[in-house]
Amino acid sequence: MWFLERWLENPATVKKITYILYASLVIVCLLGIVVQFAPSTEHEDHTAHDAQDIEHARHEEHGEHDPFVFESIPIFYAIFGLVICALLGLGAKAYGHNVVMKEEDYYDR
Amino acid sequence: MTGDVFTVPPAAIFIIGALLIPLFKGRMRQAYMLLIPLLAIINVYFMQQGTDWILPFLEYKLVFGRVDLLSKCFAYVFVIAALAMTFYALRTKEAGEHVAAFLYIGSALGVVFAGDMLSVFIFWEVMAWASVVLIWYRRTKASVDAGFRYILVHVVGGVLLLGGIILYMQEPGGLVDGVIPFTTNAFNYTSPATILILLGFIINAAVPPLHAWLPDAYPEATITGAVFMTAFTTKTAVYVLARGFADFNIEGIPILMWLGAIMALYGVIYAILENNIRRLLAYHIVSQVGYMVCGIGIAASTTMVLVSEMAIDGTAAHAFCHILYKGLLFMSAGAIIYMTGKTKLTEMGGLYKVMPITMIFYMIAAFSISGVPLFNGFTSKSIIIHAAEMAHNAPIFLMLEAAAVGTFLSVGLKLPYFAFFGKDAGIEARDPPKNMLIGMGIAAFLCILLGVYPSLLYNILPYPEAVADYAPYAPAHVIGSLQLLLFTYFGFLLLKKKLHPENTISLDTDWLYRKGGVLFAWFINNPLARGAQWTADVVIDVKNFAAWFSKNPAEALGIITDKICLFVLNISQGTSTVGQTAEDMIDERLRQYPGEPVRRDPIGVSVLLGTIFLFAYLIYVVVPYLSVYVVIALVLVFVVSGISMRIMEMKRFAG
Repeated sequence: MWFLERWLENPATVKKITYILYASLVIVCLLGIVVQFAPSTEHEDHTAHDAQDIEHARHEEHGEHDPFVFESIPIFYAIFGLVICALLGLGAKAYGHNVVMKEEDYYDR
Repeated sequence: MTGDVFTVPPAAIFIIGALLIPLFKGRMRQAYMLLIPLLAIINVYFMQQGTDWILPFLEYKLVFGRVDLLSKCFAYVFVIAALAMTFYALRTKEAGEHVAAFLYIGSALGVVFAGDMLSVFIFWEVMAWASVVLIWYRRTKASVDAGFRYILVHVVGGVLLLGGIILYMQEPGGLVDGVIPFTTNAFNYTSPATILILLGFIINAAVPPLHAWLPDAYPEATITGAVFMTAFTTKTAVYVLARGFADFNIEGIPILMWLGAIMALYGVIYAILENNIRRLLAYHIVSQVGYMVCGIGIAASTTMVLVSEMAIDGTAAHAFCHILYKGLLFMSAGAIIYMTGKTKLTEMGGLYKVMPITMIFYMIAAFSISGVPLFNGFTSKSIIIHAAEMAHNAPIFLMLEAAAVGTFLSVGLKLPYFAFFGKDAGIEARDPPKNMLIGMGIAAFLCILLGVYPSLLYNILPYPEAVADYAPYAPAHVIGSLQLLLFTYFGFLLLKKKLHPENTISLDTDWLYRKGGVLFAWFINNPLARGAQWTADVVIDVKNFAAWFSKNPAEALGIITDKICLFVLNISQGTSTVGQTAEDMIDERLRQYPGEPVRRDPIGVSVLLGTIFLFAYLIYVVVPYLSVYVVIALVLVFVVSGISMRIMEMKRFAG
């Protein structure tokens, strides 16, 4: 793994990895928008065939094709991920520092 | 075809197998130990559905072989995990530790195939006592203490369970033909019996606030013991909850659903604060088991059969995958501790250079637990979340997704960043021995296999038809998950400085019994013990005095009266003679006491005594007609008048 070490410790590589991350952030957001607004071929199939229509109705009964309202927000999961990550990270640390974090020998004293 | 194969309860293979381990040494023992899980895997594969192995016990019957899809699903992962973990533990020298581990696995399998509550209870207790040995074998003070706390909590849980079972026996259907049945959804109503059984179960499932034993004890167990423990205790609890409580509501509230969702977030929050790597991962057991408990609650919350079945499928699938990736996480963390001797994130960094294979295995497990597509957590966790979606339960859906973010944040990003990458701590180490790597390899292979071919898992779930239409790799789902994870990564990079591990511990609900225990011990040692001692001392003093007094009551009374005169009233005249002070005279009398018991007194004294006795007898006759206070007053009057007569006599001498 020494090759990996040299590779990872090269600032240029780190920079490259960071760019790849930023690019992938943009790509998944774009893909998400595409998937959301592209006409669903699967749905057309459902209306085309009677047999699948019944299947569709069965699922309707169980509520499968009824997503939450917030899921119609574009790139909902990206926003949710970032917001919750910040809330959890900072919130947990704030809770820890103010309430529960103690010295390691707390119970031995 | 499979009907021809002779099978036994897999618990028997492990339990009998465990007892024979000390007979083997060296390579023979290693081969023998691998043979047991292999046999068990074949055995479970050929087990037929139905109820078998009913044994009489006292006036009851134990059912050791209730085989259906739910129990088989859990049994499969138990025996597969047992094989991988046995590989990992092969180099452990102590036969006793292996025996404990195999008894533990065997009793967990016993619970899974138990068809009655009494066998559940028996295996439940064996499990607790076998697993505590795995903690104590670490042989540090911390592990001995943590083990005691662990076993105390589990004994309480066992007693609650037993109490619930005994109450349940009194209820209609609670005792049928000598069997206390443990049927599917048996506990679908609230009564003292079901509540107690539920409490017993959720202590083992580590549901907050009853969870603190888990992050307290697991990090203190032996390297290999902790790996075994991650798989069985909480997952048998999930199994029994899924079996008995999948239709349990309190006043219409699906309590397990809310507890599970809170649990999922609770574990995540504490994991962010943790510095000890195994404790960080232990908090993620709490979090991941939260998903499973929540799945059981979702099943209870809905009247839609398909959703309910899907939620139970999700629970079983997630338990299956969780055992594999959590075992792998603990194996990797154990490998780090084994090879470097360090347990804290603050002491690590740059380990990828020296332990690259461990790093790769760890990352496979971390991606699995975080639900990265192509890893097994993605295909199992999403069933539970999907069930929440189908039940139109937005709060639960969002809580579970938020817990997924937190999971990736600490297991997928923080721990590897500060342990394997980050600032190089310059630790000398290398990858662990081959047997450990094989165990990790098996688990890692299965994590990826079930991520790529989820249908392998979906086909052995309790309700295969409920997940038949479910497609985890629908484009919207994959992209949604990737958005969630990548933006969590982005958030981590922004917050990296804030999330730095700190050299602290975090107080949890075990504070109540750790500090409360100290307070209780102080109360026992000080007020309570001293009070008890004081009472004993007083009783003994009274006894001694009575013994002393009865040797010569007249002389004793005289001494006491003179003492009162001398020391309280300061009257010394009449008691001293030439050459002797009053004090000396009393000392002399005390020394000679009891002396001659019968005093040669003038006849008047005898008459006086006779009168006193007659008077006492009179009082004795009259007393029943008097109130207590009058009697006490009379006695006081006599005592006081007697003493004052003596005093007057002495004053006369003085005069």
